[in-house]
Amino acid sequence: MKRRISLILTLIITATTFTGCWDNKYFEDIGFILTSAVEYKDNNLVITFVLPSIDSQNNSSDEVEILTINDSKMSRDSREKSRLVSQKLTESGKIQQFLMSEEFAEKGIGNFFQLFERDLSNSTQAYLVVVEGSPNGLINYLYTLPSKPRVSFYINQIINNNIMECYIPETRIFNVGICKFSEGIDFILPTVKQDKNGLIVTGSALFSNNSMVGKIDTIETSLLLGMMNKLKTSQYISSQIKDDTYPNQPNHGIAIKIKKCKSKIDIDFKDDIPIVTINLKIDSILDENSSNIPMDKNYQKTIQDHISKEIKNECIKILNYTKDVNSDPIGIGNLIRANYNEYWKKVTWKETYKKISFNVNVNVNINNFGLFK
Amino acid sequence: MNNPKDNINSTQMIVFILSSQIGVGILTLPAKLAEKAGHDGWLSVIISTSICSIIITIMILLLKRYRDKSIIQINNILYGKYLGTFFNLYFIFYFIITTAVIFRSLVDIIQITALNFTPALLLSFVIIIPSTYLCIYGLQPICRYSMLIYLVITVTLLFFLLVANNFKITFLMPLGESGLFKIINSVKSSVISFIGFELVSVIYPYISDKEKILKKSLIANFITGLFYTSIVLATTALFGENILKRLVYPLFSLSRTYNAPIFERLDLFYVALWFPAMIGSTKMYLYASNLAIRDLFKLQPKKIYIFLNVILIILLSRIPTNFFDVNKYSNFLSIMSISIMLFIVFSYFFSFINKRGVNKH
Repeated sequence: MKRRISLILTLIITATTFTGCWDNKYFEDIGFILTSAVEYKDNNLVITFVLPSIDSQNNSSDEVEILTINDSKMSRDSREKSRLVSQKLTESGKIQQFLMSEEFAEKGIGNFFQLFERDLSNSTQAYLVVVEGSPNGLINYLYTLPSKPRVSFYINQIINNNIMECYIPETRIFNVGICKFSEGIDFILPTVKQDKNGLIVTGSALFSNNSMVGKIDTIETSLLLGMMNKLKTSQYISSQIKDDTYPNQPNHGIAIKIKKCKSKIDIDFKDDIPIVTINLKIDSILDENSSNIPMDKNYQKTIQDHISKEIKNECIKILNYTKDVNSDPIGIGNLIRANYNEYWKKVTWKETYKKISFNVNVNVNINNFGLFK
Repeated sequence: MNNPKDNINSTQMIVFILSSQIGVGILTLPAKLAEKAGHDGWLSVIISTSICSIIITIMILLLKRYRDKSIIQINNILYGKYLGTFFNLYFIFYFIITTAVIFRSLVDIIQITALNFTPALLLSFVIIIPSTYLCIYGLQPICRYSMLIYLVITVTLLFFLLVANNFKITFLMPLGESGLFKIINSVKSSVISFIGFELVSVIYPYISDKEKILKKSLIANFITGLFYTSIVLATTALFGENILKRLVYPLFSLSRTYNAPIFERLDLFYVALWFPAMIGSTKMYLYASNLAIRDLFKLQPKKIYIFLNVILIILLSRIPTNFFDVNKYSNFLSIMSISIMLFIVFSYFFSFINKRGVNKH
């Protein structure tokens, strides 16, 4: 009995005096930042936070609080300044996406996201997105559109959907952190811009040495992801093979749904310069064909060859562009470092990358063409 | 009279060894190895597993030569009263220092990851209460509690599967780039992460089926080795050696890369799951130090000296002032643990010269 009483007393004392005295955080007091945006204005950092405001004056469940913080020195500084104006204790633990302006990306992201890697209370899983134009302007514009869901959910859903379709890369804060420290590989980020419909996904931004150096569109991003072995499913629309059955018809082209894409990269050397051969094997389904020619074995082969050739040309164009802007998103340098380390050690990769020659072999297979021949 | 709750079987001993080995050390090991051996750190872990297996074999052979005796009692027989007592004091000092360093690291990890503002001293007292309680009750309840280590191992391996699509095999290549010298040099760091198996020398008299001890100890060491190798491989393949060097707790950083449906941030649960696992190794060393004190000084009642030992450990753990200070003490600890391992090996061979007390069968 005496033992039981002492045990109960210990439990009561422990529970009342020790539990969460110093580190307690009341959920009601926290303002979870769901979207963050950064841009330069007159050479000063302007950071925007979007957080839900569940107890706003008009009692609407759709309300969000948009905080614009001027003259921030760094990421943490902006949060501290936001706490001066927000009724809630702003926290980045649930942040979904971090938008940045093109100017910010071009100047170089440096260690701006280091805070997220350092502090466990921040999430490293937020998407990084480059906005063509002002991210602050975009957020405020989306806020005014009554037909759209809450700003953060709207942006997040669009990004998620387009990642699934492989029109943009899935790049989170931790991916950038890893690439930043890795040799012979550059990261790419999705690009979006303001549109009359709200927000439009425009493709990807290419980076080199942590600075944005170029842009590609959504179709090019799909193909680039294919070469990076990261293409899951996507759609590809090629030009039409010459067919005069309906010369005035409105649709011209062949649409295929890519259901599987495998990339194999071979590296060879000629005159001490790498020759990179990328072999793409694409399994697809024919979705739409504006031609009236009935499908048979020969015509299927003609379509396959036609699309293969077109994808090959597109891929060569993309790869040459990456050479022009000196960005290595496929990680050719990383492959050479791993497989030809002696060579890697004697060259400066960024200089060598401009000189390498690319070959692309594309093999498109149309597995079926639906219910219509 | 011995407490019946102090008796365990060889299967429970596997848990004892696993729980002693897997604790705080592995959280920093991938980063330390990346610093010393680049992306070849996992080779160093394999070498360390083999070295520790050899030392374990020698240790068990030594213990078998003296039936039902712990290393504390063996030292007295083998080296005589004065020299034996000196070595035993060194053992006790080692156990106490190890407990203090591991405990300090544990408190630091909890402060960094969860309770930023809670005063460290108060946190220390609260954390050590369950360990003290279990130490009073005996070895059996400790081993039962330590079964939790299996959950930690399973969840960690599951995490690797979940983040495997982000692994880059090229980050592990070319194999052996850092060179044999650097790999061998890094073995010191990885061997330290295996410490804990030497505690078997203290609890040996309390293990019931002694004929299986060698086999089971080697199994436990192999599981630890496999687990450590997979951790070093996974963290290197995910982060690459360059960023890995900069991460304080790579395993926690790895858990932060997985976005779980609904939960989103599963890393917070994962970090919390490691707390009891880390407390496990503190508990084992605390128990071993108590046992060694009892064997050497024949102290009674045990609650008093356990309580005094706990106070001493808490105070010692507060001596380092910062992260780098703790590292300095860890380096000191690594020298001590290597000396303990070498001492056990030496004692085995010395027992063939001084055959006093050796079991003739």
